[in-house]
Amino acid sequence: MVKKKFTLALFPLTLCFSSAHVLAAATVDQLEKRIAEQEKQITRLNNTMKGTRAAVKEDRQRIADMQERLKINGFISAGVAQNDGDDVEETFYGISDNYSTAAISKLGVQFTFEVADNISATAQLVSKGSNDYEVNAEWAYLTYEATNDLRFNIGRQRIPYYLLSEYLDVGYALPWVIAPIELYNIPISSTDGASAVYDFDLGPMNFSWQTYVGASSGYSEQLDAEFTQNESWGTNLQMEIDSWTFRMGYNTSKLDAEPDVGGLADQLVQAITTGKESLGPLLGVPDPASWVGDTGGFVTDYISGGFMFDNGQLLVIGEIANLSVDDTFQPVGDAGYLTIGYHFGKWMPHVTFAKFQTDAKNDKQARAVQAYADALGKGAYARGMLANNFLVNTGSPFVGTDLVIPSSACAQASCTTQQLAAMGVRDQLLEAAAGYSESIYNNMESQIQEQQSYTLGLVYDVSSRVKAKAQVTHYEGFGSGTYQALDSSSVASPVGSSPATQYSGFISGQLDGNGRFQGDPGAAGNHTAVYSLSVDAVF
Amino acid sequence: MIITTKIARLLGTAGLLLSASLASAEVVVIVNAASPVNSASADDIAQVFLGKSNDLGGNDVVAVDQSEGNAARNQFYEKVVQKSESQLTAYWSRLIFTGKGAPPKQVGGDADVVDAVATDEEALGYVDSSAVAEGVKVIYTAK
Repeated sequence: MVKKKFTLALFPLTLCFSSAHVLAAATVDQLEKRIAEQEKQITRLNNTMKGTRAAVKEDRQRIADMQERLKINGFISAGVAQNDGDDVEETFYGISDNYSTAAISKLGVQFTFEVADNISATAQLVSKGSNDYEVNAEWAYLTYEATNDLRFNIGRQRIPYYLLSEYLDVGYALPWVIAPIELYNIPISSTDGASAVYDFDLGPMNFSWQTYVGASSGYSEQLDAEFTQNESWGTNLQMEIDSWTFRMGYNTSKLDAEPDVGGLADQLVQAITTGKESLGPLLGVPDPASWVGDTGGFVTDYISGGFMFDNGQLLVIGEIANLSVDDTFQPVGDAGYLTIGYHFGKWMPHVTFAKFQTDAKNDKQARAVQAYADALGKGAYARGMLANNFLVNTGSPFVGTDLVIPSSACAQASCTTQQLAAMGVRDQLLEAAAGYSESIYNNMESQIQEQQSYTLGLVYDVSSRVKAKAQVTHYEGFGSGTYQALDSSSVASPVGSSPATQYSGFISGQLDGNGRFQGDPGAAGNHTAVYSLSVDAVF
Repeated sequence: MIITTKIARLLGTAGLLLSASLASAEVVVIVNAASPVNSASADDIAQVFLGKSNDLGGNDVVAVDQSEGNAARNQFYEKVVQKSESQLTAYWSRLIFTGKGAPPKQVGGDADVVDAVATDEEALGYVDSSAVAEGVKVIYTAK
C-alpha cells in the first residue's frame, strides 16, 4: 500500500521533468500566452472565492436580519373552573359542576414578520381548551403602514366589538380569570376582511380610530346554530389621556343562521314556519308584523361604550353595550359591568358587578310572538273542541259530554263518516296546537334572558410576566315569566290510543329564565356560583 | 445559560445595592450630540417610549430601550413613564396581540444604549448618569 502511494506521488513530478524540454522548445510568446491564461484563471477563481465569501457573509447577515425581522410573542392561561354543583352549565366556556381545566385554559403564539420596511405579516395561533385545544388562527393578516399614524390590515382579525374583545384571550392583560360573561359571550370572534387604524393627537389626548369590513362565522352553543355574518363592518374610537382610556364602538352585520336540526333555534324556526304557513292561515290569525321566521338576513347592531382608569394603584373598568337583532327575536339587549380594583404591592383585590337583560325592543318582539302563539293555540283548540262538540251532539256510544274520544277507539265501533271526519280534523288541530304550544313554550323560556353577577377576585403579580388570579362569581336574577300552554298531559289522549280523558285545555305555565346557563338554575334557587383560578403569562 | 443568568442577577443585585448606597445615581435621557433636541418633558419622553408619539418638539425620534433586568430600566419606567413592570407588560400585551403596536427595540445595557444613541441622530435612550459619554447629550434628568 505504502509503496503504491509513493509511486503515485512521484508521477506528477516525472511528468513535470519530462515536459520540461517541450516547454523549453516553445516560443516565449506561447509561454506568455499561457501565463496570461493561467493568471486569468487565477483571477477568475479568486473572484469566485470572493463571491462565495460575500454570499456567505450575506447569508449570515440575512439570518441575523431574519432574527431581527421575525418577532415571536405568546400568551398562556392555565386555569381551572367549576360551578357550585347546581346541575347548571355555563354555556360560553362550558363550566359545569365538574371542575375543568379545559374550560378556561388556552395558549397563543404570535409571529410577526417584517416583509419590507412598512409591510409586515402577522399570525396569531390560539389553542383553547374550550375548543378541544384545536389550533385556530384568530389573527392572520398583512399590515401596510402607510404613514406612522395610518395602517391598513388585510386578512383575519378579531372583531373589535367591545373594549377588550380583541385581547379577550390574553388573560395576563385582564384582571379577571373569566371576563364578565354578561357582556363577553359573542360566539363569533374573528372576521376576514380589511381594517384601517388611524392614530392622531389632540392636545394631550391620544386618539385611535379603527374601521373594518369583513365576513365571519361561528357557532352558538346557546342557540344550537351556526352563524354567518356578512356585510359586517364596524368602527370605534378610542381616546387615551393620562391614566384614562375611553372607547365608543359600533358594529353591524347581516346575520345568517344555520340551526342544528332539533336544536333550540331549529325548534323556533319550525314553530314560526308552521304558524305562518299552515296554522295561521287556517285559523285566520294574522301574522304579527314585527317578526319573521327566516333564518337569514337579520341585521345585528352592536353599540358599546367603555372606559378604563389605571394609574398603577387604582383600576376601574366600566362598560355598557346594547345588541339588537332586527326582524327576528333572539334574546339580546343591554349588558354592562363595573370593575374596581386596588393594588397593594403585588396584590390586587377587585370586585365586579355585571348585568344583562333583554331590552324593551326584544321584549316587545317576544311579547308579539307569545301573543301570536296564544292566538294560534287557542284558535286550534277552539276548532278542535268544535269538532269534538259536533261528535258529542251527533251522539256516539263512546262520547260523553266534555270528553274527548280517540278516533282509533271510534274506528272499532259504528262511527259515521261525518264523525270520523270531524275526529280527524279535531285530532289534527289539537296535535298541531299542542306541538306548536310546546315548541313556542320551550323557546319562550329561552327568550327570558336576565342575569346579574357579583365577582370577588384577587390578582397576584408573580413576576413582571406572570400573574396568578382567583375569583368567585355569584350569578343570580335569571328572570321568570308566565305562559299559556296547552295542557300536554291531556293532549296525549285524543291522538293516542289510551282511554279518553277529560280535556283541561290551557294551563298557565311558569317560565324560568336560565341566564347564560344551561340546565335549570331556577330549580336550584335561581342562583349559581363559579369558582375559578388561573396562572397567566405573556412571553 | 443558567450561570450567566445567575451572574446577571448577582450583578443586578450588586447594582441595586450600589444605587441604593449611592443616592446620586440617577437616570438621564439622552439623544445624539448632533440632535436638534435639547430638552424634553417627562410626559413627551414617556409618549415616545409608549409608542404614542414619534417626535420630540417636532423632531423625529426613535426610542432605544434597555433590556429587562437593567437597573436603569426599572428606574426609568418608574420615574419617567410612571408604570410598574407588570403594568408595562400588560400595556404592551394589549397592543402586541391586537396588532396595534410594538415596544421599542431593546439593545442591552447602559453602554449599548450610549453606543446606539451616539451612532444614530434620531435615537432616544436612557442610561445611568455615570454612563454618559462623548457623542450623546442629556435632555432630561429623572428625579
